[in-house]
Amino acid sequence: MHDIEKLEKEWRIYKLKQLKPVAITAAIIGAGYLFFIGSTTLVSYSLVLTRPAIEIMSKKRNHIEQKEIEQHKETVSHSTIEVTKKEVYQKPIEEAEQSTTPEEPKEIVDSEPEEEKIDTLILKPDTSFLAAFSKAMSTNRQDSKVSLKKEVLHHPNPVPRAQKIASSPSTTQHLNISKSLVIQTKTSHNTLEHLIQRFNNKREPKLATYIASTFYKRKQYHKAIKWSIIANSLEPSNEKSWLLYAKAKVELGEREDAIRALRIYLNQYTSKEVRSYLDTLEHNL
Amino acid sequence: MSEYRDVQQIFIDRVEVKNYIGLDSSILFYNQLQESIEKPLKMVLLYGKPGTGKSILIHKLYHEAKPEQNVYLIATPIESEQEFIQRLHQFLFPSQSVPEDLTFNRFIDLCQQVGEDQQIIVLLDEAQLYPPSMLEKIRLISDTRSIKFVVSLHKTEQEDLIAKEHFQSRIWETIELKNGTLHDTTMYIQKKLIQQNFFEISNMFQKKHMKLIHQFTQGNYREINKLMYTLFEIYDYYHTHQPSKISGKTIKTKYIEMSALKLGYIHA
Repeated sequence: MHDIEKLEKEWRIYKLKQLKPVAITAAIIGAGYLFFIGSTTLVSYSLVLTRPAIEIMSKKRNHIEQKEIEQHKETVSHSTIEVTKKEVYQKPIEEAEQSTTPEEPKEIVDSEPEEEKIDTLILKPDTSFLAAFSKAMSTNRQDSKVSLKKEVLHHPNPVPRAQKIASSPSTTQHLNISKSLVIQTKTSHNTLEHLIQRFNNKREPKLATYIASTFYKRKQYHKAIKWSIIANSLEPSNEKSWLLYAKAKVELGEREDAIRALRIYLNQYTSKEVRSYLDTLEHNL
Repeated sequence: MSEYRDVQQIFIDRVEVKNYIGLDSSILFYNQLQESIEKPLKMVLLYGKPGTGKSILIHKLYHEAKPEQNVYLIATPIESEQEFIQRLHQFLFPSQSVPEDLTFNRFIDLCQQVGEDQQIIVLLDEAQLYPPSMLEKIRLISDTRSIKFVVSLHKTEQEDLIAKEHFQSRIWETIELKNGTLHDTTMYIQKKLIQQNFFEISNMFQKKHMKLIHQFTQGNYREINKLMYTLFEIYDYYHTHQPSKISGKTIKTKYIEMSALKLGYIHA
């Protein structure tokens, strides 16, 4: 009789031993899953947090670039005056320009995307200019060689290379600046496209809010409204999407719609920011 | 006495032809054995691992062939050579008394006089227990063709060697019995229970239970008997002491595992 009871105890030990590896593997899998979830949420939060910082940085950069361009314009005008004075060296310089003009815009283009790359962290440098650059170098090398030699021999105070580049005609410089500006807008547009694409894949309300705010900052108010509605449909409690909607409506002159929306929000949720904005809108009325 | 104790009794390992369970595989082996007996062979070797059903098959053959043929069975090995020869003499010449001075050579002479016309069949169960000298004598007797031997032995390395050394040149047919499949295990348990009218208990076994029993016993009929005996021993204990533990409509996997623990198939 006691044998059966002993046997039952043995069976319990056997079952525990049998379950041990299962429990361990389950724990490992669980821990791995939690780690994965934790890391992905951290990454997404860090991305959301860094976006405003990136935006500020890009703003500052644009500001600095504009200043640099203005400085360039000034130096170009100075150099053209100098060049007109020294007509003796005009021909070889012109020849040199012919060989260098295809280079110059590429140099600027090359430097621009690098800066943009830091902003967006997505764009890759366009290396197609390298082929064109090498072609241009090979075709113009023979002509430019002779003229460059003459310039070195006869000029008492040889102009530094940086000044030579700067001494190119003002018309070509203007073109280069305009091109660089075009590229700048294009890359930022791509960034937004990428964000939209990312949103289509992930359907994150925070991303939709960010897109809406970007459109709002660009004064594309209709698009800002559209994206704030998308963000709102995914996360109705998100006050940012409501505020963006209201602000965009105000910009479009539809103040009443904005007030109505904010009132609806405040009927369901409480938000100091929304309340204060609604107050300002109502006072203005 | 509980019903479970009655069930326990039917799984006591014993060779009883009336309790023979006709499984697909065992029927196939039996037919093969019958065909081999019909053939003009000196010897037929029936071998397999212990518990594969050799003994029951040889007993069944004896009981079924006896009314029509001169078939004799030596179920347990005879240790003495003299006694063994005397027994064979009785089989071969049932109407004559055994001579007192019967030697092996004299018996061989008698066998040669009889020849193939009056051939008898002798079934030797547990032949692996015979000493090598006896096996050699069995071989010599079979050469006279007066006695056809059906030898049943366990398949072990040593016994394989015996079979090679003493019988290989004379055996014209070998039949190897193997463990049952999952289907055989299921049929064996179900048929055993139904045969003894334990229908309700038979219904308590599900497919998962059969799988588990087959896993522990590897389809060996002797091991199945042992496991089932232990299982119903546990059931009988709980029926007497803690009936609530066996109140379910199906067999509990726990008790099968407990039986396996007791028999050493698994270890805690």
